[in-house]
Amino acid sequence: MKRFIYFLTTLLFLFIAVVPTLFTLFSSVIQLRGWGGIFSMTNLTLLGKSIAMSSVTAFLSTLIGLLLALILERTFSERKNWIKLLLIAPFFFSPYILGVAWSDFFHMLGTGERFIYSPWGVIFVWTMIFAPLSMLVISSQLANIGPNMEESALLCAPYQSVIIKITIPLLRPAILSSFVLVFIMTISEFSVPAFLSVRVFSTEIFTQFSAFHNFSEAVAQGWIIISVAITLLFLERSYLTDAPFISVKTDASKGARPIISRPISTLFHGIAYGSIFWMSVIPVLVLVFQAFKGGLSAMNQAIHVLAPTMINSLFYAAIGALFLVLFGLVFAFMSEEDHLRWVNLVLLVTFSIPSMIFGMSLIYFFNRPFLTPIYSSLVIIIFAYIGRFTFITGRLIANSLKQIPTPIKEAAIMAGAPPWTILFRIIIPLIAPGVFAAFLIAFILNLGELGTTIMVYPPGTSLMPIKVYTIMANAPQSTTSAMTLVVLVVILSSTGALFLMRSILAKYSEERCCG
Amino acid sequence: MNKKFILLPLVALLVILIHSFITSCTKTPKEVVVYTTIDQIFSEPILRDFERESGIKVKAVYDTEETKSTGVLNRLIAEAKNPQCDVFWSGDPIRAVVLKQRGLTQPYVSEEAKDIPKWYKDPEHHWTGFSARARVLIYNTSLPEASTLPKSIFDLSKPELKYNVAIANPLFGTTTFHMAALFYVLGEDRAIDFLNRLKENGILIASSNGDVKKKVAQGEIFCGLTDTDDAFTAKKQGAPVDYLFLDQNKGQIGTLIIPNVVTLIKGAPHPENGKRLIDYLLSRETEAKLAKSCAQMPLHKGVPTPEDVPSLDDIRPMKIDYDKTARLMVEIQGVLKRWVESE
Amino acid sequence: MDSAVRLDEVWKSYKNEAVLRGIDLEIEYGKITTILGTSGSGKTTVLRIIAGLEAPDRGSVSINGKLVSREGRILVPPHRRSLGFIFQDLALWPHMTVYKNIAFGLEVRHEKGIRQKVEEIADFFGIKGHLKKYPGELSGGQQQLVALARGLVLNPRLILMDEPLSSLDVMKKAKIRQVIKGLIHKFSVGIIYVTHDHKEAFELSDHIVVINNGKIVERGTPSQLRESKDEFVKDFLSLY
Repeated sequence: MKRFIYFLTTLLFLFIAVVPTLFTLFSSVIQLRGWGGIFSMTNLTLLGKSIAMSSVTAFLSTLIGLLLALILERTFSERKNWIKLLLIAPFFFSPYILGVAWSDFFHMLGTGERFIYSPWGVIFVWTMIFAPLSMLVISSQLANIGPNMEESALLCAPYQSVIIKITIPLLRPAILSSFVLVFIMTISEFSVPAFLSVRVFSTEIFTQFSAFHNFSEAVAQGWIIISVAITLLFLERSYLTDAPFISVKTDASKGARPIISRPISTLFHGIAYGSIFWMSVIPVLVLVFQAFKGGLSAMNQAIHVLAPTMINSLFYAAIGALFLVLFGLVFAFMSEEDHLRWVNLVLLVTFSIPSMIFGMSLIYFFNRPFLTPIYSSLVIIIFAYIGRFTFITGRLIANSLKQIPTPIKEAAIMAGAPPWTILFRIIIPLIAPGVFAAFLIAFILNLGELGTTIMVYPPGTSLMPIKVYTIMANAPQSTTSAMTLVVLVVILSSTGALFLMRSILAKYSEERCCG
Repeated sequence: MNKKFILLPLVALLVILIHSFITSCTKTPKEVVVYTTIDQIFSEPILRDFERESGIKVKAVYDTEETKSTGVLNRLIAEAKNPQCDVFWSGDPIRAVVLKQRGLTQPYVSEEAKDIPKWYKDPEHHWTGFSARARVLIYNTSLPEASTLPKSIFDLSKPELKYNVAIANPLFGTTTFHMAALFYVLGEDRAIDFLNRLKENGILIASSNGDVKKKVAQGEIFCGLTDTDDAFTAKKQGAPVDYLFLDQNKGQIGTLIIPNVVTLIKGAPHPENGKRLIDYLLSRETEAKLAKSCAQMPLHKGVPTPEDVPSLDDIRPMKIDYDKTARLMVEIQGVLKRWVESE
Repeated sequence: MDSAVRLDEVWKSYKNEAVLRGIDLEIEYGKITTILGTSGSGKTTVLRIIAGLEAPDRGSVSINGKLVSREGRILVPPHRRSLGFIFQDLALWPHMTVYKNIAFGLEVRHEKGIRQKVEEIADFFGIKGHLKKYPGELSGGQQQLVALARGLVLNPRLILMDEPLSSLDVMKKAKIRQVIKGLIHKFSVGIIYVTHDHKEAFELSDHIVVINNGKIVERGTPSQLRESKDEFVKDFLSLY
């Protein structure tokens, strides 16, 4: 039974995400007139520039993320989660919107426009977007490092040496995964450099794609990005297959909070609040300012335009998240319980496929007469979500699984529970927080997915991010900003609703089991 | 936490699958699929009107040239083997010609287009033009440079306007077509020479026409080339901008007119409904609506227009062969790419 | 009568490193047998192989004269071996109440009169008042008793204990040791007790097996062991 489920899930995932992309690769290789153009000097220079920019971004964002994670986990107590939530707010916007908001900010400031329209400007915007992600990745591992390791070191060394010699080396897997995640996500990101008129490899793919309609060239270039990602993975594979990427703590917090002197702690708190201001408040303020500059009409229009898409979007995001969690669960079990390491690599590689190319692959593969029921229905959107984000849910759930001590399962074996009972009554309840977090993050990512879905959404359906994108053109800036704010409110309130639902569910199941 | 929990998504999947099978297998004759690159705020109302008047359900895929049309045209090309789309409504003739060159379109002669001038139509009837925009120079009225306005596109390379002119990336959207028209009128050598002089004059390459409009409206730059609809909306929204048509005097090349274009896709699943939609789009009523909503100039004679919408009768158009220019565009893209990338 | 457990020439290695090198062992019912050894000596592995959580690479295991594991194969799964297992860190299920923790094994075996059985055993261990609490709400000693109750409620004939007292203070250790001793008579079970603490071993056991580096170096009653000539055993016992 277990093998059957593993087999079926793998087969389905291959069918949804891997085979279409491979299919497109091979047909593009066949159609490509020559690889000379791909490996031309200009292309290689651009690739080098892209790698450099993504590396710098990944470095900066990991550095900021590390600093924020250390501050949050080691100097804050009760307000920690609120601050985290505020910090990741930029992650709910599309990079394009943030690019626009930041360039408008520098325009309002009346200076720094030369800076923002340069590679450094792109790096700046990317870092603002991805540093919160790094913070999340690193702080989740930091929270799992017990206090004794740092406290025992504190007896013989000052705090800063403990951080450098003990804490950071312990965080190495999280630091690496933050770097890799940000690198992969920025190297295929094109909306920010395109808007800021900075030429990089991803905009080159985009140009081949939308100006020249030269798909085989674009796909071939896309595969260069994928190979760069694979190379990176290969270099650090021993760490990365076990790296946490994102995880949610299953146990109650036991993190260390060494006592530090008051001025320093005030300074750290200042840095945390300052970062919230820089990374979240400024872009939101810019958007609010633009949206309400001319009164409420822009907001009314935005609500009017987006209202019909909301139910649809929320519904598909939820269904998609459900499937992402199911796939994530099975893959997590394959990698953690049965130690099938290839699962992680396959998921990471599919995650590195540029969204546009994945969209193209879905069209090439699924748009055939006998597959029309899939292609021309919303199933294709669910497929798009699964292909894009299974890696994320898989990792989240795998990390929760990793935290369950083996004896907990063995005790159930000794009691005579069959595998299914152990799964449903012991393991799943224990990883429930991780599964919930996976659902939530998948839901939010689905709600914002644009790159793939815009290529495959069935005619006549409307999804929120796509509508924002298509209405944005020629709509006044106020409407665009207002729409972005509406999306933010929708995401935040549905997240809130999910949390509420969870606490009600928890209460209900508690009553049922003990009543 | 029990087995019901795992059943829920499976049931959901089943429901979606069944739903999608039903909707896709029972291909209702009462629908038409249209892909459009016209901004959704302008195209959607017209498609809704058609739906209401004809009783045919319109299923649309929107995209905008503003955001560089990643979706629609690529999607049409990718779907070639199993077309899903009936009608392609494009904001310019280029994309229709690209499709025609790839053999993805079929001819259709609409009665509605009888009195549209023939140079706005494909000689082989694969595409038909209607409501047109024109290329204009948008400028910021609050800047001191506004005292002496350029009259010709060639003035943009003059030292007075150094670092003062913006243009959208010519690899995308209507700007490509504008460049192709220049190449058509001037010949390759003179066109390249002009482009190089623009570059030497420090022209700013913006990400899109909308970006040009925004930069001029915010006073970041004095003037730029864009389309009438952008200039029109900027003015309507109260930005300190105005626009003018370039090269309007005798002996000058005139300004580029860019018609909307509609085409019937080869292998369209609902060809008859597609034709009805094409007829509707080519009608005088549609032209009147587009004139009102986004200042597009009707190609039919005598269609009523708002006062502030210019008439084609008053504009000196650039005399080009649209089909040939569109073909030329495909050829010069490499040149334009190198021009954009040059320092 | 067959011996309760019998190990013949059991070998086990992890990642090419031999942990057990030919263990022969016989254990009787109604007695407390302690496996004594330093950490890393392989004593926990012996327990896990008896429980059926792992298979021996070579050699065989019989329970009640019936072959249960042999040459890399588990012939009888853990829950059919009529064993209770008390883990080192107890492994109580944190998301279940004490009642559910104890009742779980009965429920999955679809037994009748679950509530009565749970209450009886909880009463014996003096934790009846805590049935509705979660393990996290109990003290270390109470958790210990829950783990014992959970292990015994299925009426096993043999209880395997893997250093169950390691996290308790001296007072509680003494108390729980008395409880464990009492189990032999009350439930007429055999106990295999793994520990690294020779004092505990001497106080508790009828029989002690000393294991070092994957081999049994000495066996006998506590008094026999005190007379041991083995260098390792002498060193080990003089440590404290």
